Amino acid sequence: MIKRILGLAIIVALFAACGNTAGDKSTVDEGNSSEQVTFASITEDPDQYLNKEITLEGKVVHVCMHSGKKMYIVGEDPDIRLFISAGEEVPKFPMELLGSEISVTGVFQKIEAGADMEKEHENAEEGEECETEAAIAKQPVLADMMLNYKAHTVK
Amino acid sequence: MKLRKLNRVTHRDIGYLIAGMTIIYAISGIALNHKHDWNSNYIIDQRTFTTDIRINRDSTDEEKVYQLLDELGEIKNFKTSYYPTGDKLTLFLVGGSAIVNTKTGEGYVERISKRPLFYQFNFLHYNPGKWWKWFSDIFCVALILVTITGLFIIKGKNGITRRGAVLTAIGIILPVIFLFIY
Repeated sequence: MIKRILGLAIIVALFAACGNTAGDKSTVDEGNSSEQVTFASITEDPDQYLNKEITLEGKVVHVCMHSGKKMYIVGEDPDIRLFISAGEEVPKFPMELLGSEISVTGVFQKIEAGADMEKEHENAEEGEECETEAAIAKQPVLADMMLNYKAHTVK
Repeated sequence: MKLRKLNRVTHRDIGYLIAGMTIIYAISGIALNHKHDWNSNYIIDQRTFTTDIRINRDSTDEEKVYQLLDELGEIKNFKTSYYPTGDKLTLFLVGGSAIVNTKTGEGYVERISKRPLFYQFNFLHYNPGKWWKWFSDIFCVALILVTITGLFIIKGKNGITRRGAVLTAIGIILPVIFLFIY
């Protein structure tokens, strides 16, 4: 009996490992009270949406390969990227999102000094000079802004 | 129940309970320790290419993009393209991407697939959500409990008062030495 239970546990673990589904689920925020905005509008007047829950559409152009907790999206202008931070409420962003058009909901925030340091720490930990992060630092707008992720849907 | 028996039973049963978690954290710990040398999350297969097709950023020619995709044998996998300021055009593909320097024509196709077992172990190690955070906190407390109860399992010359004391002291001194080195 005990051998069967142990065997079953190992088989379940192997199936879970081979399933490759971890973190692939896109979540939908039920009863979404967020404001639908466009990239152009947050670029024009970011302060208007500060600390508000917004939903916007964009193309995923970078997903952090290590932690999976960071991704970047662009709108019509490929040079204006927005940093999406997953936080601890959600699992990692899957690499399959790269190149996908998504609708993403989250709280639009300024990147605080502490969060910036955390980002730098993560980068150091990941040991990668992230090209996207270097590019975003040079952006005229949204360089110091982020979306604290709540949900997304792939279009 | 005698204190020593309670200690042994606690050590044994919690040890059984956390065996799986310990292995998950230990394996992903080794993998993440070496992430500068090896990508434990993904298997990345890269092939380089050179093309004569020149794509201009200012007038991105979709036909040329498709010519390039055809040349690379990736038309059916094409998702979308991304061309910010500079010479680097990214073509997102199902399961990867193709990156080309539009000035030199040099580029590479990258195929990315999840590394079985390690991907899932690292996924858990990176704290995927708040429920896992509490679960892994309980695991850490259990690990401390197993360690402390483990110190008092054996009596006599191999116990914590003699041989055990020396080995435990070495285990504490070693990380302290590293603290001084760094």
